[in-house]
Amino acid sequence: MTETELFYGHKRHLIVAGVASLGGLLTALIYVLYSTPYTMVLFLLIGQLFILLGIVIYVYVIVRDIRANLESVVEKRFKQGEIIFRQGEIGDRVYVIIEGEVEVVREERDKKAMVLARLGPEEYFGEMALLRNTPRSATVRAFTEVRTLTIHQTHFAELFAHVPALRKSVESVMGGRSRAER
Amino acid sequence: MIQLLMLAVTVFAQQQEVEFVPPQDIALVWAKRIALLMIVVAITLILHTLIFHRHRLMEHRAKWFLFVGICVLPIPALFVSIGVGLEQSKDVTFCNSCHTMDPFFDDMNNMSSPTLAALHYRNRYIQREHCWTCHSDYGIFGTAGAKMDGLKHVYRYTFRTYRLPIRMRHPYDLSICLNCHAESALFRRPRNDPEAHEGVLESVLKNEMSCLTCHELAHPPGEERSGQ
Repeated sequence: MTETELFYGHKRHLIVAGVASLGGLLTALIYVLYSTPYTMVLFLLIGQLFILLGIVIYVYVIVRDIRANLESVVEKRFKQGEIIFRQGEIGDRVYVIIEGEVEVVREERDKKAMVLARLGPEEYFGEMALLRNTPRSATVRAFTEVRTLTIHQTHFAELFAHVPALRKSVESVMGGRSRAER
Repeated sequence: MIQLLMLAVTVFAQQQEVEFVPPQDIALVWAKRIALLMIVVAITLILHTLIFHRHRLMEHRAKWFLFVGICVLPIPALFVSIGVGLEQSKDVTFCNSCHTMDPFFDDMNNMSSPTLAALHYRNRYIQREHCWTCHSDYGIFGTAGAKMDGLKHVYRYTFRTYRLPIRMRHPYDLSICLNCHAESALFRRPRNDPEAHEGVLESVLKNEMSCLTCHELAHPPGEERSGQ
């Protein structure tokens, strides 16, 4: 796994921006080469909007990138019983517990929710969705009042790629969790 | 055999018609080239990135390629394309691409038509942008107004929201005629009747008379047009 695979959320945005821009540019190309009333309407009504849409999406990605970098490591507190993230959501952060305990719960259709694990201080969660490029595989809720340190995927990816000890630790924890899930 | 070949070459050469191409607006030609270059480079950059960097889209290199392809090049390309397109829309062929203009275009190309539009077009009294020259006012707001009107026409034509027969929305501004004619020798002293325009310019400027008092409409109604 390369560190860039961790950014799948933004990747989709960039693809949409690229495709929108391509559509707009093609209408511009046709309009410049063959100016007729139809190509004029196509370019002025639709093509321009596509080009602007591409720019807006790209700028959105850049702004999100900058914000994520600015807010890469943030302390977050959760009240008892509060849901930290839900199963199936797209994840962008890893959580390290400083104080308190959380419950990792697997929800399946027509079945009672199953508690997979209870995690405490110095343990972390939320890394699987980032590393496996998948939605959150379980819901995590605060079992007691919890204080966490959250790391954005941008910096987590860099740490994961450049700190071998962290990588080894995360991989071993993930292996254990995968076995527990089965 | 060689003679046969020579004959074929001669016949082929004779069939190749030499056509006069009027000189083009250099600024427009270059603007078109620049717009096309920017569009093609932007398309190539985006396609290259989406195809060859699809697994590494969040890397700096891919992001820079997309930044240039999506944000940097399309903005000037957009403005230049609009400018080039609007300039190209002044051409007679653009006006004639709407079928509602066919009768007017046919009349202008009719060698025996006596209408003012046909006379002006046939004799190239106006060198290019024939329709545009007579259908746009002077000054920046005149040309901008004509372009806005043109865009409305294009919209109505494309979405078929126009009504036939086509009519002028407002009286024709005679200053457009005078801009070319007022100071010409032929207007001041017409060949057939040198005194015919005596005092006419003053009367027209004072709105006491119109060019149409003596002359026919440039585009008379269908039944009065030749060949209709």
